[in-house]
Amino acid sequence: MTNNINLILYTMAACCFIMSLSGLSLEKTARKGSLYGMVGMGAILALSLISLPLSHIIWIIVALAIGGAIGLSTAKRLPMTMLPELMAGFHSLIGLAAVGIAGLFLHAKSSHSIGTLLEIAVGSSIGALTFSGSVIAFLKLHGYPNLPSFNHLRLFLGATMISFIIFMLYPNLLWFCVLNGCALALGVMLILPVAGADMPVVVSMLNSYSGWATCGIGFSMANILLVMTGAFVGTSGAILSYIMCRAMNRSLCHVLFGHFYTHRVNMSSESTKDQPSSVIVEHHESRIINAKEAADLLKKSKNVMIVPGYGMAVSHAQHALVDMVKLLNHHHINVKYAIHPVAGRMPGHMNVLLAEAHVSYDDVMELEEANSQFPNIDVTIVIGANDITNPSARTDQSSPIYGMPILDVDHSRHILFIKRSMGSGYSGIDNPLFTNPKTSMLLGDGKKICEELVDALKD
Amino acid sequence: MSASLLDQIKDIQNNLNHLVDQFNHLNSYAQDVSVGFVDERIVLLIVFILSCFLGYFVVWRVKGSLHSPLMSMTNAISSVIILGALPFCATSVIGFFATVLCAINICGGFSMTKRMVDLFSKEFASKGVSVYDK
Repeated sequence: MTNNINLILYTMAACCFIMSLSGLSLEKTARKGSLYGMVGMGAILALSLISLPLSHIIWIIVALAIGGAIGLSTAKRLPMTMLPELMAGFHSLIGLAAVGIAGLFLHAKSSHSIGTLLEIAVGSSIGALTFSGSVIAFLKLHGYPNLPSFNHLRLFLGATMISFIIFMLYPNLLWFCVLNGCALALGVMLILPVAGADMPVVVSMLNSYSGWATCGIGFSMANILLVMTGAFVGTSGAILSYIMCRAMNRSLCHVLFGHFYTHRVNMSSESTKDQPSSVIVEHHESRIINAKEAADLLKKSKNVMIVPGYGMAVSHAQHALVDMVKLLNHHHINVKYAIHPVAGRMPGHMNVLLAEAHVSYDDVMELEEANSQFPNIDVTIVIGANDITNPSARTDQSSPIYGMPILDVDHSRHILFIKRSMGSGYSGIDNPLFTNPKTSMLLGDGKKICEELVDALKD
Repeated sequence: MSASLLDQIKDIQNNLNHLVDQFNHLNSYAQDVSVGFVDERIVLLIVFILSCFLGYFVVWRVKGSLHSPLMSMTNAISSVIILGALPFCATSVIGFFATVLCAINICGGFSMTKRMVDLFSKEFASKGVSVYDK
């Protein structure tokens, strides 16, 4: 009977989680959505606590207090630019917990059915893979780009599969550890060769993996709530990684296993070799202006579009930029923001950074909407972005980013590039916009230039 | 005449009772069979498949600008895996450790989601102080 009640309460908690996810579909309902999630989780925790003996509850409360304090203090202090690192760290915790729980579950009973063993093995190996992959992703995002590169993916894939089969035949703790050791190494091998620019995809993929690990544990415990929640999380992560890949016009396989296409790697290294000379040539051709001239240009315009990239967040320019926008609004100039899906380091990152600088979401446009607006725009300010505006993605078939959906900033009347230097972007591709007669360049640190623009506009 | 009618009615009644008994017997037998034959794992698999579809349709509706809170939220709710750790929390070190890890995720994930979602509110956007007003 208690089992039936549990099932009903679990389903209600799952409904809370569905409500929380669907609440996130609009900014207006997002707050309510986050509340639903908390209510569901709190109810489930309270429910499982009352069914346990008192001596257990004390320990659980201690554990919850320690974990809760760590989690809350981390989440409160962390700057929003470090959000991708935080997400990778959190995914690694889920993976590690999944491995631990699977081990305990295996140890708790002397014999398991073959089906349960399969579920334990799948759950724990996905968990181990999530853990090590997330740790590597965290290190990469945190700025350790020169991690040693191994390319033994096939070796460890084979080792994982063999130890998987042996574990099914001899289900003891030793083989469990071997299996998870192989899965850990496999996670490292999967994420290590992925390029830094592809990190949004990797973070979403790890999100998906942590969901599938939850699912695996849910199957082995025959817990309906874990299965449902794991499925939501898994599909959500998969959809996010698909959206990110589509925004870069690359397939998921190409992002994850791109380093196997040695042909491609050679091509891109050639293009980076050619690059310094072409930059020098461009340097003479592109028009470099100062803040005063840029302010005059802006004052004469009616509609302004701002295209921010990750470079803006790196130089902490968003607050100065918003000050500038407020001044422009005071001059009755209409200012909007255009955000490319891969503008930040994780899905939706740039939107959060802008929102943190008090930008209303009504002023922020997504790719298609912004592209329909560009012909009416007098000045487009591109700050800290490069590849997402590169028109060779539309025209030049030999370009590595050919076919990638871009923001058509060249359709506006003037383009104002705020850049640190004349160098090219993440992928090392020339941007023909720099030499476009419509383009003016403002070179320097993003934050400093925005402050100069504010001063110039005040006069 | 009336006596034979009464007999007939009684006869029919007996038959009916017999039929009801048989039906009840058959019903309980059918229940036994169904309980024995539907594997718990199949139910879980059905739930899993339907949940995948549900998740797919719900997540596609999420606006692009809210993808970061979405990821933070899914991370927080995937810590329901804590239900697997709770029974072992008091009895083993690993169980305690797993509970702590999940608790970090629950509190950190939800408070991060809330922090982000609050940024997208109208009140917060209007709080921005204009340079011109200073």
